Amino acid sequence: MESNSEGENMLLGFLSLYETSSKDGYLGAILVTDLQGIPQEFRCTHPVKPTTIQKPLYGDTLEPYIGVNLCGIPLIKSIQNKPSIIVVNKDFLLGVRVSSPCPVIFIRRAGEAIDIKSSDSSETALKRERIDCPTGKFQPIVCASHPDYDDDIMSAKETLGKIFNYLDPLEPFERMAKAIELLSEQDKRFQ
Amino acid sequence: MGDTMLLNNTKFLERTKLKLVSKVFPFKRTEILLLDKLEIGLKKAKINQISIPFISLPQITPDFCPDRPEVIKLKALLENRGVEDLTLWLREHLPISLPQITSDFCIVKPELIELKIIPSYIQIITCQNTQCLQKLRLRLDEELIGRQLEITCPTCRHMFVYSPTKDELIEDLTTWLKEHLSYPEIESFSVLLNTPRKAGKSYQQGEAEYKQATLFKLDGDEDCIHGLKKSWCAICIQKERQERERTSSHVDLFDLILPLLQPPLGKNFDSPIAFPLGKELYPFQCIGVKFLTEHERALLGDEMGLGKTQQAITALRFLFRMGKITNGLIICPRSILTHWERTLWDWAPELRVIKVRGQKEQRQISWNCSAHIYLTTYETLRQDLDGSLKNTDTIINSDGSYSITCPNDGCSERLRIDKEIFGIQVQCPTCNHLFTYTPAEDIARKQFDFIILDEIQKIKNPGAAITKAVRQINASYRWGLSGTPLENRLEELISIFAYLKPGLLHYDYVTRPLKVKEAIKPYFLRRRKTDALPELPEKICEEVWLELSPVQREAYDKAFYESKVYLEELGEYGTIQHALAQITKLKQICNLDPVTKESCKLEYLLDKLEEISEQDDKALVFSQYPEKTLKFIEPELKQFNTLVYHGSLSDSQRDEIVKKFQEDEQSKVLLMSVKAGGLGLTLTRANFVFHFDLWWNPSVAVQAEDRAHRIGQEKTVFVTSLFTVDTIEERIQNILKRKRELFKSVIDGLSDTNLSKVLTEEELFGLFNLQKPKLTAKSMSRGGSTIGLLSQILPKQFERLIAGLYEKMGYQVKLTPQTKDQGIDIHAKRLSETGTEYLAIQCKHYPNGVVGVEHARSLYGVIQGQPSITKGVLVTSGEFSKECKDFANGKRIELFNGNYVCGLLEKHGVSFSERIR
Repeated sequence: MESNSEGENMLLGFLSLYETSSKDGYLGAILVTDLQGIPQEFRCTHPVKPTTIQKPLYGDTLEPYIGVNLCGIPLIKSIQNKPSIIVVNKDFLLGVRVSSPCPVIFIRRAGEAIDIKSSDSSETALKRERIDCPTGKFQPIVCASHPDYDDDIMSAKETLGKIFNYLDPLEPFERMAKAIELLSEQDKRFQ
Repeated sequence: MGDTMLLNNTKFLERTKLKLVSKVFPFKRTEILLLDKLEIGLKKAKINQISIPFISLPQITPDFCPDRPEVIKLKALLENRGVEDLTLWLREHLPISLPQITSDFCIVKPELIELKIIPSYIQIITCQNTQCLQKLRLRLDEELIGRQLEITCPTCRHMFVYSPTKDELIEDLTTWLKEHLSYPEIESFSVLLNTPRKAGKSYQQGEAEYKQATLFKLDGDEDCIHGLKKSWCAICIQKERQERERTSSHVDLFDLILPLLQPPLGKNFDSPIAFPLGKELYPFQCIGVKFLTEHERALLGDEMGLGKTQQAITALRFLFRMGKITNGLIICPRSILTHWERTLWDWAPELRVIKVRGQKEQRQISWNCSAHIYLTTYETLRQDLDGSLKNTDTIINSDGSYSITCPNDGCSERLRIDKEIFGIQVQCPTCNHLFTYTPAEDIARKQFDFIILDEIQKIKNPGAAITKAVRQINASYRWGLSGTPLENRLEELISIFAYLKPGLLHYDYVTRPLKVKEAIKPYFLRRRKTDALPELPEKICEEVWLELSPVQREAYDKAFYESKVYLEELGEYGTIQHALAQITKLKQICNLDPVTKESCKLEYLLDKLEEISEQDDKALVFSQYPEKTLKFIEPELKQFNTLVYHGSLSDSQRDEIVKKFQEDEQSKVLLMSVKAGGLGLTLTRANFVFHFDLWWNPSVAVQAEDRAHRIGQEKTVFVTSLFTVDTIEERIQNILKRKRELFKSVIDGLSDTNLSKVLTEEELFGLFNLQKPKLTAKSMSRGGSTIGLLSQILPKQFERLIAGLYEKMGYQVKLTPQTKDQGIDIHAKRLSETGTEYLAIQCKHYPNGVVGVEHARSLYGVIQGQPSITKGVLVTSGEFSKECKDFANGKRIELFNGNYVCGLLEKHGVSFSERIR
């Protein structure tokens, strides 16, 4: 599958993993928008609910496994409107890059403290770039790419820098969280 | 046998001893238990220990007893398990001779009891020796249960009798072994997490389309069950229309979350993506939006034309995106229901709107569908709430299903029905009674996060049914919209706020206006045009889309059908003029029903003119059809001291009317024909302009609007064009919108003769779902020869020819005398479904000439004086001038040029030779 990378028709993808309202499972979701942040497509999974035995067995690999293998990769394959770049807000989700046709970038707000002790990862070992909002409207962000795909960060930086004038790249994740919350209220299958 | 012989050989004395001994100490039958191979059904399990039960040997008397070593040997052998036939072995190995068995004496043969392997029983017993109490395990066959067994304890050699009972048995050895042996139980469970199912949808769509009026494709226009083509059948058309509405009511979960997925509007609405293209708010409107979003209870009282609807819709968008509301209700007058729908579509395309109207069943389905906004009228709300309250028999279960009672009085069984199925045929399983189920209580039990009441003064009367109905709706956000200056109507305000903000006002405040104003101040925002003027442009244009009333719809559909038939019958002889004539007829019905004069546009206009009048403003109302439209709406607008300006007035009369309109404050409305309006008039006292109908030439409309929008105008001019949905007006507007670019390149003053530059023939005929008639070579050659013949005949012969033609067309014709005929050459009469059609036909035989406007005027003058005449027909063998065609347009005059006459002659097979004699 080829990604859409033609100028104004470029699409952005926002992929994340959310915990269910009852804290007993995880939901993956991906939102595809145009460069102005207007939604073009939204897909999410039904909750994955690990049992009490599976949780300790998987340990720290639980969320990455669910986020990448069970939710992320299938979601990316399922979307009809292919984005030019996928943005994730959890570093372990960079694992989807191996199956993604387009660059995958992890972003977080610059200045956020990283809990180095609790996570092995990842992020401290990643190559990071800082992007500032040209208008100062939004706080700067830090982005990182999958270690095996260093080139991603350069191409992503250009795109993210362009949209950062008017769109906060972290904001769509908040919309997705609200949407997931409403979904779970309206439909038991998402609880 | 052998044993008997042995006993027989015993001496008498010894035999006697045996007899005595056996009587005193009889042999006990022994039970020998042998262990077979133990088969245990545990896979890969090891058994640590198996106890071999003690076997008691038979008691033998001193003179018949093997030596102890042999006994031991015997025991060992028995334990060996390899010995099967004990008797034989004993005979072979023991140095004793067994006594011969006689009839009264026989050696006790130990019985070998083979224990069955399955089922086998295990018994745990305790040695009865109180000094020992050894636990013994006993394996038993079922046959031994209840029998007395002699057991010798292997530890203390204590012998006791034991009778096993079933209760104490352990049935399954395996289970016992499992419990007592350290055998690990293997539990298998899945550690794999399953890939979850996915859900969602794509929101990317083509350019947003507002579905056009009935569109049946020409290809595949199949026959319907009523014996007609689907595009011709009124029943099928109506059904298709309802199906379209029903389909558009379907909203899924991912449509409902779409507003949440939208980018934020920004606190100051300065986001470049905040509004749909071409739709931005003025600064004063942003203040209005902010006012609404910050107040759960609010009354927006901006003057008419300042965009209350747009402000309310934008405020809703804001709240939806913030997640503060998920669904709500908008109530408005019937006349502007469709206009609200259109405005919502334009300003908030991401919100799913359901218009609740139509038949009761359709409304129930609509209420039960998921949507962001339910749009309905005050009357519909009242009706549906009344219906809901009466029905208390239905219960909604926790899983969303419905429990209802079988309507069969003899049954009354409680039935459970899936929530998602409406209007279904249900058969009671108890009594087999068949009935249709539609839930009716939903509106009463539905929860709304917001309610908007447009023209909220409708609930000014606290005792009215509408007011009572509205007050039943419990919503967090309650907004009212009204252009009426309510601040001077305290009673109305109190009634309105009794719903908006209960407890804020009391009815005894009616005499305390200052107190009322003070109390409502935080919840009431009103701007006048003068307040907003600096921000407003000089002219604001708006399209308002209305829905035909039922009577109009019926008349329109019938006329549409007749037009199609007419144009089809014309076939290859049909021209643009014919199509235009039919379009005119339909547009006139869109204005007014020809019989009842009912008009959805007039209803809307009345509402708006009331507001305008109260604001001390004035309005101009334009129409292309002074005779067919303005003449009939004038009486309905008497309350506004309406003046009428049209072409037939004298110059002095026109001046008088203009002066009166400009100066007399009581004259609020001026009705004008579009053509008459383009005469350099100054009517700047009016700042509201309504186009009751529009032609496709925008410059004509602009000219009309410029009567108000010109030097001397101090206010913003609000121009409203009225259209009806699902009609030829909508089709025309859609085509014109697509051709907007073409319009810009066309020189102003486009007239009908240049219409082909704007709308092609294909498009014109396409408005009727017809293809442009194609002239065949045959018809062209025929036409050529006929026109040649036509040019050779005399005028009187021409008249007779035309009379013959109308006879062929089904008319009764009468040729008039040559003098004193008022210019009419032929009178024709024909009976039709709608009545008798009278035609006044004037013939102008100008084979190579052009008929001028004076002839059309003359004919028009004649038919004006004779109301019984349906229409006048001007027939020529030549052509008509542009002025003549312009004049005839919109009047009861039809023009037949030479080509058309030839076509009709050919079509109806009129013979020249026969007719011109």
